Amino acid sequence: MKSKRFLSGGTLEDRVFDTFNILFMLGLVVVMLYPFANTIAVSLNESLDTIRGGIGIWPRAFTLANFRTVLSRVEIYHAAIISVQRTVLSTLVGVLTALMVAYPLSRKDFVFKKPVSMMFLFTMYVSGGLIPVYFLMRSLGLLNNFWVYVIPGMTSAFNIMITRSYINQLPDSFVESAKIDGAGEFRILFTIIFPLVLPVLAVVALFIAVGNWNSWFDTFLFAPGRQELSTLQFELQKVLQAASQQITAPDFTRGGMQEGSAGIVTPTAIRATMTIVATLPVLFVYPFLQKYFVKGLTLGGVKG
Amino acid sequence: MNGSTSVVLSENKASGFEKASTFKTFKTFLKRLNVQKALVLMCAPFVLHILVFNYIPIWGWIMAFQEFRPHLGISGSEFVGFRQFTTLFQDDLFILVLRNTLAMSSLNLIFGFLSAILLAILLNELGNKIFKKLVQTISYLPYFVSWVVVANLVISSLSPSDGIINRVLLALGIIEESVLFMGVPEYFWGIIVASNIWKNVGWNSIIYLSAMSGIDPELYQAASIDGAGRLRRIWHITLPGIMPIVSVLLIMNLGWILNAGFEQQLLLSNPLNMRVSEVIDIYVLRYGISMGRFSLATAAGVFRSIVSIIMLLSANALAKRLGSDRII
Amino acid sequence: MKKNTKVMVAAVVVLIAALAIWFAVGQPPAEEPVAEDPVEDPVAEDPVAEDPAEEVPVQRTYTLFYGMTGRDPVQLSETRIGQLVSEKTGVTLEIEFVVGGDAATRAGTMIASGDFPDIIFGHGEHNRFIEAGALVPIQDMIADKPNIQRTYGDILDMHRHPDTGNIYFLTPYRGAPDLAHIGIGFWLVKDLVRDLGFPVVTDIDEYFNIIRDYVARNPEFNGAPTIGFTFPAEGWRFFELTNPPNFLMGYPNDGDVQISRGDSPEDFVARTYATSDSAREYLRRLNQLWNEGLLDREVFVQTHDQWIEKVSSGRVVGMTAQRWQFAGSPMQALEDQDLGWRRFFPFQLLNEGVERGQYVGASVPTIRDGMSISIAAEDPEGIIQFFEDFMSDEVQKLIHWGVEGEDYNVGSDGLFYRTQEQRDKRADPEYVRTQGTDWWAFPSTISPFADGNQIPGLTISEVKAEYDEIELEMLEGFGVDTFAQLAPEPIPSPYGFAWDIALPDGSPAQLANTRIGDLRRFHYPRMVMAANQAEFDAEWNAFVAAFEETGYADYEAFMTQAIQERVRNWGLLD
Repeated sequence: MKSKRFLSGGTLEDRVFDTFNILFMLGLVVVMLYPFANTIAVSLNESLDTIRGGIGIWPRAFTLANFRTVLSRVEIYHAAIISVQRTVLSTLVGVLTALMVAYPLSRKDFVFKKPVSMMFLFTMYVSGGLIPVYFLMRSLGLLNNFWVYVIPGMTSAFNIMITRSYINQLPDSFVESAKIDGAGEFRILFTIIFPLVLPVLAVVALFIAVGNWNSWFDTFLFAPGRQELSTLQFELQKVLQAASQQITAPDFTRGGMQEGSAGIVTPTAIRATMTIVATLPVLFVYPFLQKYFVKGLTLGGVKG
Repeated sequence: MNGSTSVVLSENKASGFEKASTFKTFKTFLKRLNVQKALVLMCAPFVLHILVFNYIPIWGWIMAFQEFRPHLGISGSEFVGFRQFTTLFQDDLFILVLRNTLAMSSLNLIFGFLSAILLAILLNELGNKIFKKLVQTISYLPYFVSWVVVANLVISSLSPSDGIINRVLLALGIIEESVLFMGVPEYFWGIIVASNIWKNVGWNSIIYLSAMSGIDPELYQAASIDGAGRLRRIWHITLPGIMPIVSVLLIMNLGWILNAGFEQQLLLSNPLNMRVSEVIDIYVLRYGISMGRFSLATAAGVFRSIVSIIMLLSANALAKRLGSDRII
Repeated sequence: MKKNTKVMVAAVVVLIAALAIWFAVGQPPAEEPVAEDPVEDPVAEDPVAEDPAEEVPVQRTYTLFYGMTGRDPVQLSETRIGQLVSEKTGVTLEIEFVVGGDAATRAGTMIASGDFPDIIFGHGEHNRFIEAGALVPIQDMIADKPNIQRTYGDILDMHRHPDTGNIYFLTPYRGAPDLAHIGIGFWLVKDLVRDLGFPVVTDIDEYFNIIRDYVARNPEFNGAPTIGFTFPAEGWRFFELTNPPNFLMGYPNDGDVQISRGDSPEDFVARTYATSDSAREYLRRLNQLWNEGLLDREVFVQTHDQWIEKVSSGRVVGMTAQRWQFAGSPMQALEDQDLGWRRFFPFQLLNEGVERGQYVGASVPTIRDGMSISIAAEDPEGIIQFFEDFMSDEVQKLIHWGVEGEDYNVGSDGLFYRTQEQRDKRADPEYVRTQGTDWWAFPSTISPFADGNQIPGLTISEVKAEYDEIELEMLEGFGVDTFAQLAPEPIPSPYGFAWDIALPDGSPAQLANTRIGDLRRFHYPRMVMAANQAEFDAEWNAFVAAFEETGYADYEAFMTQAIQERVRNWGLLD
C-alpha cells in the first residue's frame, strides 16, 4: 500500500496542495464544530442564564440540571432499549435486503432487470398518502406493534441503488470464474460479492442505523399510546414538550422562587441536551464503520 | 449464465422454424427464467414487500379526485374529477410556491453535489489517517444537530446587532452598516443553500468516500509513475472512479426536484421573505392539512409524484445518451 | 478467506435470529380491551355531592386522547393527586398525548380509521370530531346529575351546538377573571413607571413619547443598546402586530373582527378591521419608531427564543404582548439577575377620542372544546358518572388546591391558604409532575365550595400573597390592592369571544381568513419598515387593493351569522 508522507518527497504541487488542504480542513473543523460545541455548552449551562443569550462554546453557568431533567425520566431507559433493538434489527434486515435485491439487478442479463428496477425506484417518489398507509398498517396488524419499526422500512430503494452501483463496478471475472466452478447464485452472493461490497454496505448500515435511531414520527403515527413501544427520540420529544410549558405564565403562584429557579429547564436547553444524548451513541459507533472506508482495503486484499 | 443464454438463442436460430416471433421470445423468456430462478428467488420476496407496502396504498390517490371527508371515508366522499387539480393550478400562491421549490431544489442540488464531492476528494487526499478520521467525524456532526438549533444559529449569526457575519464584514470594511440579511428576500435562497451545505456536506460526502475506497490503488501508483501530479491524478482517477455513483445519485435526486425541504424553510421563514421561502410542503400543510382539505393535499402529492417519475425517466434517458451510468 | 466469510455470514444469521427471539420473548402481551364492568351508580340515592364515595365506587379504566400539542405528557393517574382522584371516582385514566407531531395529523388518522378512545379532548381539532359524528351527545345523561347541574347549570345552554342542539362537552375554560394581573396591554419597564410617579397612561402618543424620551437619555443598558419597543412576531404570534389597532379602538378581543352591538341579535354585525384607519395609523406610528431607530430592528426576522433573550436581558423598555408570552421563565431570569425592576407593567392605550378600552375581556366562558365521550366508548354512562364525581367538591378541591397538608392548609376559620413554602413547591416543574397538580382541560368549577372556600384564583388572600415586594410597591404607588383594579370593569358579552368560533373546514370563510392572514403578513412589516411617507402610502394602497380580492365578505358573513346565533341561543342579551 502506498503511503503518503507529508511534506517530504513529492512534488511542489503535492506540497502546496497538501498545505492548502490542511488549512482548509482546519477551517472546516472550526466551522463544523461550532454548532456542536455551542450545543454542548448550552446543554451544560443553566437554562435561565442561557435565555439571556451570548453563550458561545463555553458554559457560563455550569450545571448538570439539564441532563438530570432529561435522564431522570425512568421511561427513557426502556425506550433506549427499544431504540437499540429496532436499530439493530432494521440495520441487519435492511442490509440483507439491499444486498439481495441489488445483486440480481446488477446482473446485466437479468430477465426482470428493467421492470424490477423501475418498481423499486418509483417507490421513492410515489406514496399513497398518510391515511392509506395508516389503514394498511392497521389491516396488517402493525399498529401498536414493534414490528412496524422494522418491516415496512426494510426495502429502501435508495440503499438498493447505491449497493447495485457498487456491485456494478466489480470486475465480471469474479462472478464468472465462480460460475465456472459451479457455484450457485446464493453462494456467489454471500461468499464473493458480500465481502467485496463491505464499504457500501457499511454506508447503508450507517444510513439505516442513524435513520432508525433518530426517528419518532413513526412512533407518533403508529404506536403513540403504548408506552412499551416508545423509542428514545419519542421520549426526548416528550421531555421537550414538558419544557415548552414552562416558558409561558405558570398557573401556579410565583412569589419569590429563587431557590426553585435553577430547576427550571427551558426548551432551548432541552433541545441541546437531547441532541447530545441522541448523538453520542452514534459517534461511538461510527469509527467502527470507518475502517471500511480505508482506501484499497477490499480490492487490494482480494486481487491476485 | 452468459454462456448458457447464448446457447439457447443460437439453438433457436438454427432451428429454422417459422414460428411466430412472440412465441419464440416467450420460450426464450421461459428458458432464461428457468436458468435465473435463483436470482428471481432472491428478490421476489422484496418485490412482494413493496407491492404490499408501497403500491397498495396508492388506492389513496383516489382522494385526489374527491372531496374527501375523513368520517365519510373514501366510499362516502363526493367524486369531483379534476377539480382539486384545477384549484391548485389556479391558485397564484401555488404557482409561486412551485417556483420557490424548484429554485431551492436546483440550487441545493448543484451546490450540494459540488460541495460533497469536493469535500470527499479533499478528505481522501489527507495523508495522516488520524487527522483524516477526526476531520471526517467532525464534518458530519452538524447533520445530527436539529434544524431548530441550526436555524437559530443561522439567524443569530446573521443578526445585524451582534451577529458574527456582520461583525466580520464590518471589520473587514466590506460593508459600512450592518445588514439585516434575513430581511432581504434576495438573499434567502443563498442562505438556504449555504446553511444546507453547512449542515449536510459532511454527511453527504460519506458515500463518495466509500466509493473512493474501492478505487484500485495501483491506478494511482501507475499514474504517478507516469508523472501525473496530484491534481491530474484526482481528475483522471478519483473523479472517474466515483462517476458511476455520482450519476446514480444525481438521477435519483433529480427525481426529488419538487422536494425542497420543509422544516428548514419553515424555521428560516419570516414575514419579509415569505414569498420566496414557502415550499410545496408548507403550502400543503397550511392550505391542505390544517384546513382539513385532505383531497387538495393528496392532489398536490399526486402531481408531485408524476413530475418526479417524469424527471427520473428523463434524467435516466439523458444519462444513457451521455454514456453515463443509468439507473433503469 | 472463504471460510472467514462463511463464519461471518453464519454469525450474522444467528445474530438476527437471536435478536428476533429475544425481542419476541420480551414483548408484553397485547393490550387488553377496556374491561367491561357493569356500571353501578356509586352515588345511588344520595343527592348531596359532598362525599360521593361512601361506598367504594366501581374500579374501571378509560382511555383518553389529549389532543393538544406542547403539553407535558404526565400520566395523571400515576401522580399523587391522580391516585386520590382515582380512589374517589374509581376511574383510572390512560392518557394518550400528542408527542412530536401535530394534532391535526393524529386527529385525521383517528377519524379516518374510527379507532377512538373512550374520552376525547380535541382542543383545536375538537370541532373536526364533532363534524365527523364521533362524539356522543350528553345532554340527557347529565340532566339528573346534581354536581354537574350545580357547577355548569347556568351555562349548559351555551354548550348547545348551533346545528343539532346537542351538548358534546363541558367546557374547562370557565372564564374566571384574573384578579392578580392584567394579562395584556402596552408594557413599560417597572422602574420607569415608578420614576414617572405611577401615571395612568392611555394616550398612545404619550406612551411612545415616554419611550422616546427614555431612550434618548439612556441609549444603553448594561453595555448593550436599549430597545425602545418590540413585540413577538414569529409564526403564529403575528397577531401581536395585528391586534393592537383593534384594542386601540376600544373593542374587545374578537380576533380579526369587530362586532357592533345592539338590542336585538340582528344588530350584531362582524367587520374586519385590517384596513381600518386605526390600523393604518398604528402602523404609521411604528414606522416612525422604526425610522428613529427605536423599534427592535430584528422584530420580524428573529425567532421567538431570540425575542425572549432580549426581553430577559433588561434592555427592552416597552412592548405590546399578551402576558403569557413572557411571564414565566423570562421574568424569572430577570429576577435572577437582580433586575426585578426591569420587568413590565401594562397600560391600556386608546386612540384619541376613545373613552374606554376592553383589553380585559368579560369573564365569559369559552365554549369551544372540552372532554367528550366518543362513539367507541363502551361505557358512556360510567364516563358521565366519572364526570359527575369529578365535579364533586372533594375532587375539585384536589384539582384546584391539591392535597391538604401538602399543598395547602386549612385555617382555624375554615378558610384555605398556602404557606410560602407550599407556593414555592408549585414553582418546581418536577413537583408539578409528580404531584399531578396540573389538570388543565378537565371539567372545572368556578363556583364556591359548600364550605365557602373558593378556587385559589378567586381567593383574594392567595392572589395578594402572590405579589413580591416590587409588585407591592407598584400597587402602593397606584393606590390599589390588586392590579386588576386598574382596568375598567369588563363589559359583559352576550356571545363570549369571537376568536373561539371555529371556521368550518374548506369553507370560503376559512379560505378568506387564511388569505387575509397571508396578506397582512406580507404587507404590514413592509409598512413598518418603509423608508419614507411615500413608500408607506404606496404599500398601504397596495395592501388595501389586494385585500379586496381575499373574499373577506365571506368571512364577515360567516362570523356575523355565528355571532347572531350565539346571541339568540345563549339568551344573555338584556
